[in-house]
Amino acid sequence: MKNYLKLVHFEFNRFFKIYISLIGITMIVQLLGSYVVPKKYLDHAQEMMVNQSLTASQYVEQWGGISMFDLTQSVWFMGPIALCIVAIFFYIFLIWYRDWFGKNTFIYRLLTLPTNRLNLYLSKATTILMMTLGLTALQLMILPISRRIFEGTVPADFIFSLSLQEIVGSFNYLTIFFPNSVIDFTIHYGLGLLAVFIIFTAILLERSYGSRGIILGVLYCVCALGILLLPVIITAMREKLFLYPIEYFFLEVFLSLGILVLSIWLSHFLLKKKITV
Amino acid sequence: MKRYWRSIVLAGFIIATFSTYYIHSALAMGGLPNFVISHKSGSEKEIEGVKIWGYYQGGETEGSIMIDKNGSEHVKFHSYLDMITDNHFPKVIQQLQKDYRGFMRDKQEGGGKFFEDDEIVAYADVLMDFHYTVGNYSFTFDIDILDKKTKKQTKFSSKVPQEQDYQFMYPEAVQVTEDNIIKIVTRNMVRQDHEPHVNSNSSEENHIYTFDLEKQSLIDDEVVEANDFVADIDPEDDRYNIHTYSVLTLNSIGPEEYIVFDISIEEIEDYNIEEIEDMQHHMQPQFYESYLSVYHFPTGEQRVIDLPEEISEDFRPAYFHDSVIYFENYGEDRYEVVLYDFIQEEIIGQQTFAMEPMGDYWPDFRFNKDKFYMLSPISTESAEATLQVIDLKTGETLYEGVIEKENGAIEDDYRLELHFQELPE
Repeated sequence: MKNYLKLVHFEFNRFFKIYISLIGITMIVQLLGSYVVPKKYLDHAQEMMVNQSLTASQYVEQWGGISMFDLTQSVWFMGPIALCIVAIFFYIFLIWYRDWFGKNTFIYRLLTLPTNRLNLYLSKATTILMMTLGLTALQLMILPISRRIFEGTVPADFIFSLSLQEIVGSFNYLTIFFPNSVIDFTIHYGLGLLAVFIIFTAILLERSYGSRGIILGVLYCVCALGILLLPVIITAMREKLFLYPIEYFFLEVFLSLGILVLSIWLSHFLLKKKITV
Repeated sequence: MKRYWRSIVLAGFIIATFSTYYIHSALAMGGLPNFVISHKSGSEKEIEGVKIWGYYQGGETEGSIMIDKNGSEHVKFHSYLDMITDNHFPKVIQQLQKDYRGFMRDKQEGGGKFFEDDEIVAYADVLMDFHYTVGNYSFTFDIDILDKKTKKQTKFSSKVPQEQDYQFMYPEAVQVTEDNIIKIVTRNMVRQDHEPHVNSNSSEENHIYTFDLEKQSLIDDEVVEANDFVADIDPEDDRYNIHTYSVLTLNSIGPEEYIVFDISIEEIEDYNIEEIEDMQHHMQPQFYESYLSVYHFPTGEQRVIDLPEEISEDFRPAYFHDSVIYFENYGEDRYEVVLYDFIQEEIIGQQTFAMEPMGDYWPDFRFNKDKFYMLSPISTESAEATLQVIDLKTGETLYEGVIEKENGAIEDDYRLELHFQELPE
């Protein structure tokens, strides 16, 4: 356990500089956007009110008010989120490949550590999960600050006020990161972690078998996805619902856990017996 | 420990932020006031099984609540598990799923029809397969019967006769008579050989297909009786549209001796075949006439119903049960219900309910076999919302209550939108 935690910390440290940069970019761009977006609206409102001799309420009636939705749907908000998603996605691959293609073949040192090789696999997955959760927690922290700046920039007459839960809880992309319930939270992040495990296993297949390994890796991903979607595919082909919804749910949970265990077992096997440096 | 400060800070930040957010969410959602149905007159037994959905807005708080005779409950955000376990089927189907779990598999799509009595549960559906080579569907009956006592299941299928004549068909009702005969009522859209000149043209028929359950075979195919005018219309004549459907029963999936059909005819008044391509959009069908036809399941007898003059064309059949048809008419500020017994050939009940809107909202109202339920659409700090239960035949108010905050608390401005979620059957 101790070795596992040390490895987690080690992996996190390796990505720390880029991670801090992502945090910095996200904070600066989103907080700046919290001023720019309502300012742009206010400038337009003031211009129209002068040109057409409108009061604030008349302007709102004609052109609509502004709310935090206008900010969270803008590129000022979604841009940094997209950047972080892309960065984390690429790092899912880089976290392994940098060990082979860095200055030194670092993987050699990792594989000769006096620890269970599965700890390498689990510590990398944990690092990805922690970094993802860290960025989403950062977003949760930025939202109320953004709202303060937003509501401080535009007079209340123009604002359609929303609580934090309303901003997050309505039907938009933020509910993927901040689901309404603990069960949904477990499902969203559990599926994300499962996807990471599947990709890691595919990477290890590639690292173990060379060019054949790429095909094996892709096949593994396709088969894993196929198994998870099997109940849906069979239902669509039969055009009849044989299982009750709760039974479908538990079947999917069972299949997901099965794929998880298989991925971990296969990766452990590859790390122990097949990996080449 | 000092060496690991970055990981510790990150882990701590994640736990603190998410905990704060979810605790804050839980507290915010718990802030809705409780509502009750305060009794004003009548028996509280009348509101057993009544559930009212409300959307509350007051101050900084808003959310959904469910109110019944015991008080109110906050309806929280749906998780995936709530969405999966929420069963949107009618209560009677939910009970079948609970009692006969195995039998009810493969029957969850909602297209087929059920029948239940003390001895059996029956299911019938029409399966459709589209054949690209012929450009039409083939139709097959899918029938499944469960004997409640022996638990024996009988399943068979049968091709629909003359399926090439139909463009579309689906089941509307199923009845099983005492002599092991199953009758399936369907609505068939008749296929026309030529491309209709008028886009809205349609010709429909209701059929009653009779099967012998012991022999597992089709023994009869009856078309619902047309009056003389409809019988003379050529299905290829696109001056007329014929719409027909079976009126809903208030008995859900239980035994019914009769079934009632509503047949209406539309006519294209300014039909001009020479100007069709330019004028199609002007050829709107107009109502021509409508009538009701009744079919007796045990004997197969059917006849057209002669309605009294008091039941004008403004009244439409909403439901039927036993030999009583429930007609409804929406007036400007009223809703009228007429109960007509087609065996006695007399009106056995007639009620008019005054409907007062609250702003743009109208009262919600429903009825079952013998009671009418009415609910005000809005409750505010200055406007009362009432719930009434009225006897359909006599007009007597069986219950009246008011939806209000618990303990009669009068506080800040609020608004509660209301409608019925569930009623006793």
